[in-house]
Amino acid sequence: MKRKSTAVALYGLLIALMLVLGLLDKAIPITWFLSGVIPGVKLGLANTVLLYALYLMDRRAAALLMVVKAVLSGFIYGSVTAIFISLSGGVLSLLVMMLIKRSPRAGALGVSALSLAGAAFLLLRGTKLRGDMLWCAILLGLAALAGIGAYLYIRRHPDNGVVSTSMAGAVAFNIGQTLMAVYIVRLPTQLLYTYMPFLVGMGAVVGCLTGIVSRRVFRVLKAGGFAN
Amino acid sequence: MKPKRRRAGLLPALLLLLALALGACRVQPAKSQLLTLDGQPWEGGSLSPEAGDGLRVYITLDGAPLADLPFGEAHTVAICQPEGENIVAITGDAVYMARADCDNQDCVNMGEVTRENLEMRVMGGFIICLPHRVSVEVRGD
Repeated sequence: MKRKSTAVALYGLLIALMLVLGLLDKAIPITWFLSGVIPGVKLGLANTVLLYALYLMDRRAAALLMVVKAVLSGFIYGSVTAIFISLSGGVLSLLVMMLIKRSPRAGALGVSALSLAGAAFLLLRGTKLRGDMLWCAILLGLAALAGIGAYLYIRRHPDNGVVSTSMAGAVAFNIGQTLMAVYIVRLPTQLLYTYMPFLVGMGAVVGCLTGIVSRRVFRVLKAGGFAN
Repeated sequence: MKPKRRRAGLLPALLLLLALALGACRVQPAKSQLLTLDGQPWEGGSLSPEAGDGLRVYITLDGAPLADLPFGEAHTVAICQPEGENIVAITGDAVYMARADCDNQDCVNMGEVTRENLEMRVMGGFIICLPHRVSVEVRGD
C-alpha cells in the first residue's frame, strides 16, 4: 500500500503538469494552415497526463484529474463558460477512453469509420472542396488512414492500445465540447455541418500524435519504475 | 484474500456531473445590453430589409435575434453587455469582429467573412464570441 503522502505528491505533480501542458496547448497554433482561428482546436498535450492516469493508475484517478484540471484551468485562464465546455468534453472523452481501453482495435476502426462518415457527409452535401474545406477533406482522409494504421499497428503490438484510446478520446473531447458550446450559446445547428467534420478529423490526427507521445512516455516511465 | 471495498459508481458520478453542467450553464443573469449602429444608439431589429443582393448579416445574443443588416452596406455595430463589448465591422464586402474585450480573442482572430470565402470557411458564415455568447452569421435568403 502506498503512503498517503506519496499519493498527494503524485496528484499535485500531475495536476501541475496538466495545467502547464494546457497552457502550452493554447500557445501552439495548430490551425496555422487555415485562414482564421478555429475555436476548440488544440494539440491536447494535457490529455497525455489523463492517459497516464488511466493506464498506469486507475479510472478514479483519471476522473479526478480531469475534473480538477477543467475547474482550475477555467478559473486561471478562462471563464465559467470555459469550465462547463471543458468539463463536458472531458466527461465524454473519459467515458469513451474507458471503453476503448478495453477494445483498442475497435476504437481505431471506429475513429476511422467516423472520419469517413464525416468526409462522406461533406461530399454528399455538395460542399465545394476549396480553401479551408479542402484542408478539412484532406484532414478527414488522413484521420481515416491514421485509424486504419493504428488498427494494424495494435493488432501486431497489442500493448500499444493507448494510441487508439488517445485518438478516440480526442475526437470525443471535440464532439463533447462543441455540442456544449452550441447548447450554451444556442447556436444554430447549421454551424455543425462543416465544423463537426473538421473537429473529428483534427481530433483523430492530433490524438494519434499525442497517443504516440504517450506510448513513448509510458515506456520511459515503466523502465524508470514509475508505474505500479 | 483482499477484502472487497464498496465503491460508489464512477459512471453515474460522471453522468451526474455532466447533467449538473448542462443545467448550470443555462442559469444566467438577466440581460441588459446596449446596441449602437455607427456610434448612435440603436434598438436593433432589421435594417433596410429590401436592400442588396439578399446576403444579410444576422447578429444574435444567446440565440435570440438582435439585429440584421444588409451585407453590402458599410456599418459598425457595437454590442455592449455587463460582461464586455463586441464591435462588428461590415465594410461592404467583408464582415469581421473588429474588437472584443474577451479573454481569448477567438472571434477577432477568426478572420473575415466575404462573398468569396463564405463556402470555404470551416465555420461557414459564422463568427462567434463564446465568452459573450454573441454570434454573427452571414447568410443569404
